Amino acid sequence: MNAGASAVPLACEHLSIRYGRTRVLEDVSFTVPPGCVYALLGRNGAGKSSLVRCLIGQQRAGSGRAVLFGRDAWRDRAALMARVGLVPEEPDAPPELSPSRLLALTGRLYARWDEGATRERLRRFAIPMETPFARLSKGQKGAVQLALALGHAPELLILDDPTLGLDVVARDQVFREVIGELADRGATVLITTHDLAAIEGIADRVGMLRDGRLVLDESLEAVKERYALPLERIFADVTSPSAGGVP
Amino acid sequence: MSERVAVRALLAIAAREVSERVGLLGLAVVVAVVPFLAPWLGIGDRPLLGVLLGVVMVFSAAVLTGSSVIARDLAEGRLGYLFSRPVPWWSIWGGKMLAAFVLTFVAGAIVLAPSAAVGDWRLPAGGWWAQIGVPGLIAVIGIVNVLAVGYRARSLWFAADLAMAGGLVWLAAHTFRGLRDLAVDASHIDYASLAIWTIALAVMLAGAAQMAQGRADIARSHRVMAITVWAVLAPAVCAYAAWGTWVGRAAPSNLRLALSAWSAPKGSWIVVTGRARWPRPESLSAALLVDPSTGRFLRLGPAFSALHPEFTADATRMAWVSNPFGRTPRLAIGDLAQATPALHDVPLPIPPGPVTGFALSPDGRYAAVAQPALATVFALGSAQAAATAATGQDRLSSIAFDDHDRAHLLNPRQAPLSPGRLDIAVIDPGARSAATTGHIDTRGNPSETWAPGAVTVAVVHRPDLRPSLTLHDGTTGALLGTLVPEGGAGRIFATFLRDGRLAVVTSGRSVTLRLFSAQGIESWSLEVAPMFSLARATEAAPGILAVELSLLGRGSRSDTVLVDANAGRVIRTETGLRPAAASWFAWRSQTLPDDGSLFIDDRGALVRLDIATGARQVLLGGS
Repeated sequence: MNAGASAVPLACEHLSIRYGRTRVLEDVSFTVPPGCVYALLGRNGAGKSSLVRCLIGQQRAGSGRAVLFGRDAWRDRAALMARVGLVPEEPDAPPELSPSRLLALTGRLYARWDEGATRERLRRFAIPMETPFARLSKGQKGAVQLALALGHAPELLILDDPTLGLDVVARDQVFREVIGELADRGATVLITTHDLAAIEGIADRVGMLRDGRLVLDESLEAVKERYALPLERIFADVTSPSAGGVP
Repeated sequence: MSERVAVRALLAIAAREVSERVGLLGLAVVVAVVPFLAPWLGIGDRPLLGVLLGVVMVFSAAVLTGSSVIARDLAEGRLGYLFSRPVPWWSIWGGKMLAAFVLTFVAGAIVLAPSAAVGDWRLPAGGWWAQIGVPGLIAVIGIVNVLAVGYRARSLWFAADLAMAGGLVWLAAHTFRGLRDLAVDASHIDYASLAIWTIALAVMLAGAAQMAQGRADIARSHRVMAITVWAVLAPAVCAYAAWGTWVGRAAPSNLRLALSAWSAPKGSWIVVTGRARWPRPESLSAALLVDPSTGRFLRLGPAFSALHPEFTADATRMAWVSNPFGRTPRLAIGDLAQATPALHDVPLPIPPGPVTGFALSPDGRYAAVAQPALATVFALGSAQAAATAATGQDRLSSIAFDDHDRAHLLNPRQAPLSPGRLDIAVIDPGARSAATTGHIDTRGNPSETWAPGAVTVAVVHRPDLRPSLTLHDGTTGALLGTLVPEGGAGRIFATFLRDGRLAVVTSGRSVTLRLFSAQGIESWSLEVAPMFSLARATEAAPGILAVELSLLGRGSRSDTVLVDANAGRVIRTETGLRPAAASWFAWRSQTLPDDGSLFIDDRGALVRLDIATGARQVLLGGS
């Protein structure tokens, strides 16, 4: 077991990000307990992707910090990534490599890598193994990225709008895989998405960002009970520019 | 994460980058064949083409890989793929740089190896190519990476980067030119290698910092990279500039080796040129105006020229032409009458172009300048020429003023080595006129020495082949005598004493000193050395001749024989000493009143010799 295994898998502590004079995130704090599926919702430009980049140590926060398993995500990025799987919003795998070669390359970047399970996932997704990544469909690219993110059996899975632009079939595949991973290993998941219907079935907790501020951070059940409205209505109300705050 | 996994990741990343660009190596194979097809295709010389294509291939590979391995992934948002893996930044950076180096070296080797194998070329001896080539390629790859990231970041800061780069390049070039003017071997391979290594270090550190701190964020990457590059290069260039300034501020105590010296006719001012001692570069050539009696000194600057300085008879002024062989020479004046001498430029009313001769009238009113096509006389300080004369040949000219401030010079009309006629041009600034007042026949390649007041002129004909020496009237050119006939000596050196007598040193199987009256009548002849020597003479004190005997089988050491000109006898031999003003580096050295008492010893020290007692006083220098 890694040091810090008992620590909270994911926490944001007063995280703020600015791009020049533009404030993207302002004093965002929340935690994701072990085994929890946390859905982070927000409109376009709410700061979700910036927050994810901070969480995976690719961007430094202006103030505050992102903490994974008790360790600073920026400072200890390389070590933490052994316990984290990421599916980025935009597929970022080398475009000239086929899934087969991507599998070989990615496997060499990890100390622990389950090539058999990854190949099996790719087979289930019906991914052509020798087609260059650049020539795969958007759904296939997402599936490959998900398979590669799960290949080292991460304790924390971060999904940055993984179903953006996917058709219904591909979207279901992604969520089935996530649910399967949860069922198998009880991994912790942070998911940012617009796909509110999909997360209703798997999310334990939900956070909503508006203008860079976290305006809601509660269990999904409590939110639905309090509002007595469909999640889509709640999202629209809470993240509307005219909304004053959490009722 | 273990080091083993990190290194494995580094190699995996490098392999992936190489495999992505394997087409470059294929291109290299095709290019490697081209030189061997050259004879059939008629596109040039095979060995030359092989080396040329090899160099182009190496450079192109460095640029192509350097611009893409990191910057392209960063700009296209694909670097995050590696940063979201448990891979340290140095594995990513190292893998990508390793791939760039491997591709560059292998592509170059593929092109160059076949040509080398058939003997078309071989690596130059001395290893300089490795001193320059290895850091050069590292620098090229790193620079291109920095430029590519800066460009792709699309930030206004890139303009600031370019401005900073321009400023530093200007400062470095300015310093380099200054050092070069001081004869510092600034382009020496060690300096060049150090400079390139510094640039390579800066851009490689910048690349590393970009990965460590910028990661997948291109804007931040650019910022971090720029800060690192300038944090290394700006202090380095400033330090170089400061060093260059410090080098140029050599004081008399910093001189190790005196090369030549001239003293003012009165007072104690001496102009001395010499090489510096460590820690300044030994090649540094400093020119100083020094008063050894008080320790005062003045730097004459890097533009001080081989045209030796001219003093007025009362030693209140000195003048010299700086940058004489450039397009825009300048005339510098030193005012020695003041307690603190000052240097300043005065107008030099001549056409743009090199200066081949310079003289100052004894009273300091006029200066004369010879150029390849024109001789000009002007009042010192005036921006107008007083009189000019056309000259016909690009040669170093000796000019002399007579007692009426008229400038005399010889003007050959034929090709340098051909027999022919020399015109005597006399330029009168008072009458604002110039005239050809006489002619001298020459066997070719004349080398003239004027008597004080331009009363007579001694001409050595064909000093390069069976030289001869004739003495002529300084105005009409009338032959006063053939002092050394053709074939009479292997080498001739003539110098006038201040009373107008002429001392002639001939070298052949022995070295002979001969003294002639102002009319060319031989007074006496004396063998001063029984063997050949490159001998020269100067008047060390009134009536005392110092004959330098150099290269007597002792490397660059010289001895000096002191001769009583009135009695025609040797006084004594000073070993390890040579007259300072008769330096090989002094141009057309004229006899100046006190020059003769200045000597340079074999340790490079400038020495004032007491002719009567032989006591030597070291003024400066000496290793």
